[in-house]
Amino acid sequence: MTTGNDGKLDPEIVHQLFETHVKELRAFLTGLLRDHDFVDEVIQLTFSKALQSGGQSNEETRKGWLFRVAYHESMGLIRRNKIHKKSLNNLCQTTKSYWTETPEQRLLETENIEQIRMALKNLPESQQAIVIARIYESKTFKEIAIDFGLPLGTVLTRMRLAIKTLSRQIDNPSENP
Amino acid sequence: MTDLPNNSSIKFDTDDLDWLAFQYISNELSEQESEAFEELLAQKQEAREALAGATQLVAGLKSIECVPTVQTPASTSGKATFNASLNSPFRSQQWALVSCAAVILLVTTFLLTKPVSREASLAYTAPTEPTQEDLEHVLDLWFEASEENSFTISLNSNTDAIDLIDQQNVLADNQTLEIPDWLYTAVSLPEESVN
Repeated sequence: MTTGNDGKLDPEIVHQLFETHVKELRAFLTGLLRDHDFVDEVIQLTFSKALQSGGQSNEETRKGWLFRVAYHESMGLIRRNKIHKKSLNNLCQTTKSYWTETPEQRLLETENIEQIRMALKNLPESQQAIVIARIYESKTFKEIAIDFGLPLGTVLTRMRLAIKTLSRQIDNPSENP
Repeated sequence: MTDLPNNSSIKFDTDDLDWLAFQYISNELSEQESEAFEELLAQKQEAREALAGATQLVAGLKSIECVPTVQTPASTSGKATFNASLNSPFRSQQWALVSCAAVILLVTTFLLTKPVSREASLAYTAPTEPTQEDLEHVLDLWFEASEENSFTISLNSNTDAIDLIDQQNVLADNQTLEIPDWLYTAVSLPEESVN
């Protein structure tokens, strides 16, 4: 449902899109920009554009359209400001309170963290060790390989498997043993 | 595998977008690889969603309140152990409470036993040999006190105190000088304990 033929989108629809996709969009932009202030700016620009010209997109592909707009806005911002990529590890330490906006969202976040905790606990020990060393001790894969006396390729493979397992279990919690 | 446009020579395994996204946010891709991944982000919604998922995963891992310890073995097989707080956030709180209680108990025990131990150390102080001057000084004081005869006996006085006074009176009457053991002890005590 749009307003006229000028491509504008109904504010109510934009509001619904915001409620549905803002969390995932924010995560995407954080991974891209590594700066909360820039993320806020791009989110504002994205949904402003959705109001102005979101009617040009199909309803089925509107999510992809939003993400594409957010991506292009981010790239523009990076080029204009010559943003240097910060470490996401440092950014994530201040992210906990940033993700949450309402008590319901805070509850969801707690559930997500619990899912991640369980998924990490259920990893094989060999993969768990690599994840701990990489995420919590901020060691490079080379350092981990030296510490554990493993080839670098083995370390990378274990980390890759761990990420794949963690991502799958978080998307599908019912798969947790 | 996906061949990227713009003559990019980098080929990514798009079946493993989660791993690619993790490497991207961990700054583990080279500049060329990062640019190639960003071009992939421009084209594929799966790549964008993978990036969002990887960001949330890393943020979630960082949010877990645990202090992991990794045992670096001498052997080639690695083994990692978490402390109890990984299993539940409440167990870490329990350990904190138990630790605090133990510290408080230790401090209380130390404070309560400190005066006793001090007294015990005084009791076990080896007496030094009194000098002749010390003896004469104490005897003078003793005679002065007995002459004044200012002792009063309360109903609650114990028999030791009464015996002491009787002893003093007898000595005063007999004009004989018998130095009791307690006098020696009093003279032998270090000055700090007297004061």
